[in-house]
Amino acid sequence: MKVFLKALLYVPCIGLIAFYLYVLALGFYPQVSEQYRAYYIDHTVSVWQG
Amino acid sequence: MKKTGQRTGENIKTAATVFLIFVLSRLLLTFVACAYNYMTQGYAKTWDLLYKFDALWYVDIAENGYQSVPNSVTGYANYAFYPFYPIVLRFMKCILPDRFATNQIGVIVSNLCTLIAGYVAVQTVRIKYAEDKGYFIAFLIFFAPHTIYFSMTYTEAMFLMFTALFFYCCGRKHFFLAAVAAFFAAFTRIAGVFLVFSLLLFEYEAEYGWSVSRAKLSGFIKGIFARPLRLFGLLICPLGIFGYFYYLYRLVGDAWASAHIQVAWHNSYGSVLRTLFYNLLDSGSGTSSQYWALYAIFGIAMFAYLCYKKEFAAAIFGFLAVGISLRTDAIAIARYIMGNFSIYIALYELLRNRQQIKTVVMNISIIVTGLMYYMWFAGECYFIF
Repeated sequence: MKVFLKALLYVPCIGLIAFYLYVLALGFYPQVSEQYRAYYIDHTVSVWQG
Repeated sequence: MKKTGQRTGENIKTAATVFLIFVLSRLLLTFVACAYNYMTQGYAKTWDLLYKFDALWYVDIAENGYQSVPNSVTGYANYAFYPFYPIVLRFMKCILPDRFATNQIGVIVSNLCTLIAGYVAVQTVRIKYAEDKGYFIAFLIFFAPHTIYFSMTYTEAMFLMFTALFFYCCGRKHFFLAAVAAFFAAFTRIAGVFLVFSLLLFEYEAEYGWSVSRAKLSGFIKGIFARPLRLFGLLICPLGIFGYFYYLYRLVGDAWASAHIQVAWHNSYGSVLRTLFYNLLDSGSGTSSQYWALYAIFGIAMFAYLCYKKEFAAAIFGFLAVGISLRTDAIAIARYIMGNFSIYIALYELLRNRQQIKTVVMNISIIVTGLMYYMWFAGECYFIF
């Protein structure tokens, strides 16, 4: 029983790792407007024109 | 071995002494508020005098939630501020009577967190130095310069409380509880996520001391994966902050929005050394820039001192938490340094056997903190921002 419970704990661990990787991946594909990308992410414009 | 009753009695005595020091520190705050009202011929309440700068953002988040679009004029957005503290304020507002304004609740929560942090800090010190009373660390938390933020609707007090709990639990070798404290610290401020490295160092020290070899390192890493509870503890540390990143992706479309929004406030220097160099020499914000840069150097020196004392877990947390702020700019770095529990460990270690210097530090702290409260109330002093 103890071994089974111990093994069961790996399930949330794998779930957390998968969640972190998913969020990290989302970070590379922002779904934002052109103005947002230019000002906040690429820094190609110096004034926010929201 | 002390009996349980004796230990409980000691804990009550410790709590009462820490509470007394805390009350004295808040008497200083109230006295300065009275002096400020007298000088300005005003009649403002203390919590209204404390309600400035970032406190307005936290109250806004607690009352209205996060905005999905930055302000069209300034480019600012409230999602630059991390969620756990406003969540607590929102929750407290639901259970407290309506007569309490959100800022008042913030002041109460922050002061309560400071009090708990002071008590836990004393207990943490006693783990290492059983012969010490340890009240000096509580004094530093309540009175040291740049601890004024612990009295107001800022996240610093809550962050300090969770980091103090983290170090206490690690000292007692309750590593899973330490991981829970790290989870809440990271949910309160992103710097808390670096506690995961401190946790690893504490766990390593508990198993092997500070003797390092390839075999021990590989045994330690294997041990993490062989013990799922330990692995789970390490993995839950950043859960809150990653949950927030996911929330931001759903809200704004950008998982790193809280980092990207910083550009609206100030440009990034891109590295710690560039930040220090340009703030010391160029002084973009006048003398304030030099003050911040010098304060940063003081902080870094204190963390280096922790390495010298073999307090590597506290040192790495100090370096990384302050380093992440310094990579962008030195603005408000004094607040981040004094909001970091590692600095109190360093100051305590440095001064515990130097009675005369300790007395000087205590007297100067009371005077400077009184002045800082006054400058804060006046609201025009940029360097304590």
